[in-house]
Amino acid sequence: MKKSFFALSMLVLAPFASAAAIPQLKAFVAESRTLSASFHQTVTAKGKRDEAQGTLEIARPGKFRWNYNKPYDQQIVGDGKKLWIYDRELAQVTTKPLDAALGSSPAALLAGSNAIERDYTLKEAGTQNGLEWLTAAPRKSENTFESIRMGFSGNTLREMELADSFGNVTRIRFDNLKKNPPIAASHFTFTPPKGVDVLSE
Amino acid sequence: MKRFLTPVLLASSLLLGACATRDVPFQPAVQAVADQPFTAAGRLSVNVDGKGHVANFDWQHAPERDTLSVTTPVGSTVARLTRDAAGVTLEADGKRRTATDVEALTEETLGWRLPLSNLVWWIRGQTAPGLAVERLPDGSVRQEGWTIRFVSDAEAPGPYPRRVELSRDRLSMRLVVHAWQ
Repeated sequence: MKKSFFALSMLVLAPFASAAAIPQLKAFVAESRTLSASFHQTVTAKGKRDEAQGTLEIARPGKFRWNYNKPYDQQIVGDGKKLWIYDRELAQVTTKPLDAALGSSPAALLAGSNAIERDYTLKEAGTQNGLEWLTAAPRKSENTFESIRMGFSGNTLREMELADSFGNVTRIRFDNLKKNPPIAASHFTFTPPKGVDVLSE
Repeated sequence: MKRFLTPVLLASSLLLGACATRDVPFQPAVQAVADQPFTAAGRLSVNVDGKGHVANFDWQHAPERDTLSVTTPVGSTVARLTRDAAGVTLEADGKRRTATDVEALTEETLGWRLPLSNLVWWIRGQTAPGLAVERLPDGSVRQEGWTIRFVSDAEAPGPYPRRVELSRDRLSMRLVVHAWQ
């Protein structure tokens, strides 16, 4: 009896215990055609720490808005074809093809339907701080991030950690994440404000 | 001096009202006499004939050493420039290049000269010492062929300008610092 109870409990618990990060990533992408969240970003490097926060909106495939609102106002918009970066205080807009945009924002990575699985080799990375983690290593070496870690719980992305080859580590915490909220199409277009230079790369 | 300043202030406040801008010319409290170390985090833009970039930067300066990192908004390093007694090194695209001065190195690699040794002063709203200064009626200054405009945020004035705009020939640069240390 005792033995079978143990076996039964293992059977019941097994699906929860094995809610590893990669299946959670797949479920997260499959369950959400649109996404909204707020984020808090901390960049640490030798002798410095820079914090910023803002909001994220995504409509798959390929559309996103990644806005910084503290301590500065910067908008990064992927409209499906182009990437736009607008910094209000600099009064400058730059635009470039979206396919060159992956390193510019994790939103570009998250907005692709299967960009993560296609362009990165995924590996389970265990449990830490109550989250299940995976590592994503770029299949092609590129000049952006050397490694990416993503932390999940409840089939939802909670944290990301990005490291570059110079020793910078960026931690992004997502809060108030909503799956499939209605988002106006206008959030994924960008019209340069009057009096602002538009530069192309 | 006061008689000269009043119409200027009046004109700029009228301008302020008209354009609803918060930008005002920055005036340093005193001209610094000795270089001091600083760390500045901000954003910059470079415009060469309508082509250019917007990026974040992190600059650690000391009289004997500079480390200037240019990063994406999310913090991934695009290029890192270091200057010390041994010379200047630029690391970008997995390559490492060295030279004796920043201006020559950036001219060779970027196609335009980054005036780092003067920018050490300009970013703090100071003119570079030991160089001729021409003061223009709109409050900007001219040094070594560059026109430099120092801008403060009227709602949050500080010891340093909020934005510095530089231009020379077909090149213009803007720098905004959001954190000084």
